[in-house]
Amino acid sequence: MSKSVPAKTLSFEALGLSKSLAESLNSMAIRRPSQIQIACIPQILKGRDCIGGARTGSGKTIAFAAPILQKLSEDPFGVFAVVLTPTRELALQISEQFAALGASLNLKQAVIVGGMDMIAQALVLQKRPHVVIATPGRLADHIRSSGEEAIAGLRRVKFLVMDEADRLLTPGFAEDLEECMNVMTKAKSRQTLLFSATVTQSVMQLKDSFRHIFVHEVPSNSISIPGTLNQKYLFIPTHVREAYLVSLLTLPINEKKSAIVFVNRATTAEVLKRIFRSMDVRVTSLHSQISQRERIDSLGRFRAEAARVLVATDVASRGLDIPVVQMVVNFDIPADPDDYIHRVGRTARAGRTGESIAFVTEHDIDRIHAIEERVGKVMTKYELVTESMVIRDSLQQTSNAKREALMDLERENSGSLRKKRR
Amino acid sequence: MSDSRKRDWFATEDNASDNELHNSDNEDGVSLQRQPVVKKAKQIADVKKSKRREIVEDNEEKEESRVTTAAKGSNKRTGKVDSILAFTTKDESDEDNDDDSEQELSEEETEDEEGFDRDENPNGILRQLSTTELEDNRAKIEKSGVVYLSRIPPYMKPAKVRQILSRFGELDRVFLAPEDPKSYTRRVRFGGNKKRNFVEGWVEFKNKKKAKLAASTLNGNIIGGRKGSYYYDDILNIKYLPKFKWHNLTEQIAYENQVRQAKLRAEISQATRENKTFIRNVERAKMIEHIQEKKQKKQAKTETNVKSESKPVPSTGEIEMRRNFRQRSVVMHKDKEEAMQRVLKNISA
Repeated sequence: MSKSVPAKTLSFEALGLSKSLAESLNSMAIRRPSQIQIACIPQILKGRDCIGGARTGSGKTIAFAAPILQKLSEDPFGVFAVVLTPTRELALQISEQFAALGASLNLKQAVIVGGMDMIAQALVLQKRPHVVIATPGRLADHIRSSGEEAIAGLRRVKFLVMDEADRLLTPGFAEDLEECMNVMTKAKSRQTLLFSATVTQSVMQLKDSFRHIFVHEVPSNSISIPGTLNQKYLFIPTHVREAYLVSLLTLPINEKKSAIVFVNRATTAEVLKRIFRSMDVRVTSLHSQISQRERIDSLGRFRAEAARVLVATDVASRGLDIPVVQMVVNFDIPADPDDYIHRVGRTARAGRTGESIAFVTEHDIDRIHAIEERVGKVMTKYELVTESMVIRDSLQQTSNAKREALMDLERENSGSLRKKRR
Repeated sequence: MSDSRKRDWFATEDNASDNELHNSDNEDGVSLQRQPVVKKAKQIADVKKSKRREIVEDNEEKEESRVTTAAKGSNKRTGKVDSILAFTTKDESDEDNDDDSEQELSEEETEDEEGFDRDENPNGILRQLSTTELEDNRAKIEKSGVVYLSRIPPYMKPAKVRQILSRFGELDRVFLAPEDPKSYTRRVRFGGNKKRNFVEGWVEFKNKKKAKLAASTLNGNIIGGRKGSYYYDDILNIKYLPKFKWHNLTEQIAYENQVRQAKLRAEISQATRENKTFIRNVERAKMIEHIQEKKQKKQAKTETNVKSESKPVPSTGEIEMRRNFRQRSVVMHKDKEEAMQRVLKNISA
């Protein structure tokens, strides 16, 4: 990435950040600003609104966290910034980065996400932390029910950041977002920063509604995935996917690699987890139907490489920065090509190499064409897993394990995972 | 996971094959709940029996023969034992035979899952008991009696229960149902006692007269003993269960396990069939590919011979379409944009 930096001398201090911030960035092993950071940090410091689009793993979080902390250090008060994210895990991750960056500032922050104790959160909010990192649903919940005391701080917010803006602006979040926006300062007296790897046309149209907005765009569609990513596909029938997956991940080449397997449904994730477990693969899962504690635990296990395979739904598709991931498997093909971009963006981050393998079944051909069009690249066939190998090694074993897993699931919670919650 | 947890809960002192008791059984549940299940099992077993041409002289006898063999082997066994005591249902289905034989023959590592039959395999360890042994065993069961404890004094362990009750006569098995793990974690979280608590229990006496005596003596009375002892003032609630034997406790679970096994077997055979189809298709695809390759080569040869530039080669590129699959929907960019526009309008408004 440093290649794209024009001048060698360009450092964070040259972008206008204070020395202490540059030092803490240094201690995080971030020495040279990336393209988006070079572009956005000075503009944000100037007080402009910003729409930042850059491919996955290019340092967007720092691009908004650093200038916010800089501004905060000049005039520290109540709730200074609100960061909204679509998923809880992403909120936690961003809070970690804020904590690392702001350690020297004695930064106080609050993570307001679902699945955790609401009263404790309200108490934290009352103490007016500098930065609030939240998911829209829980923040709206506080606004509705926690009383004026807790949300008073929100009325003077200087910064509103929407990470993964294109996801936040979908109808699913609309109501909660509206509620949050109503409480916060008007757009005129705060800075609004929108970031995503897939900035859509509508987000771009916000240009008109904001004052002097700065836009850092993804130059063209093809850049939205990193160049170091190697995209492959496997064209196989639906009912033998599990066997292929097991064969793929137990190949001698892949045996040591950390991999994320993306699926479209929580139940599939649970079944796959059980299959892998019966094959003695160190596996963990992340989806919406397990408790928040389990979610955090399993992500932590994967981060620490206690588990080699993470089976996840789209809750893990955006923003999560796990450097060890070397491989992303799309067990199901997402309906939205943008989701694909975010999923494969979990690997090949910050200039590392990575590999993605899509399992294309007979029903997914339209989807894969749409993805190839969106990404602007044609995938190549993955040659290392052959039919004879699957038949010999994993077919019968996997199908047995799958049936057993399905039966166990049915017995444990009579069909739905819902009951397991809480 | 659940199995292992179940095992953890386990509190019986002697490791007889009863380790899959429901802890949800309540006082009447034990005696009443069972009946329909037994009936059902009987029906199923009857149907199965009719299909088999086995010579079954006396079902009762057979069942009990298993009990004894099981009891003999019981100390070797750990883990999932298909509570052999529970086969009151006269079921002579294949599964049972398999299960038993598998356990018994586990040292010899027989993986022969299907078709093991006791009659065909006289050298199997499952041997018939002699009539006298059978008679003995039957008498033993007949003589035994079970008492029920509706409440276990706080943190009392099975050993203590055994000690208190063995005053009245020789005991056989003791089962105490542990408390709900949730309530345990709750207690521990709030700084409570970390010892395991039990909610109810069953105790088998070798002699039912002694069982009756114990029940009538202890019921509603304090435990007593040394004045300062921990349980001195605790009151026992103990009842003799008439016409109730130990195996009545385990039959429901045994039945459920059996059903589950059968279902799993069916599922797996279904999966195997699917896999076979897949393998066949793969082979066929290879064959077709091979044929096409040959054809192409041939064609190429003839073309070079003739050197006519009439037609381009109409092969491999055109694959015959046999079937169209319904394609899953794709989110259109336009729809997404529209939705987002709506959201933005709402927010800015």
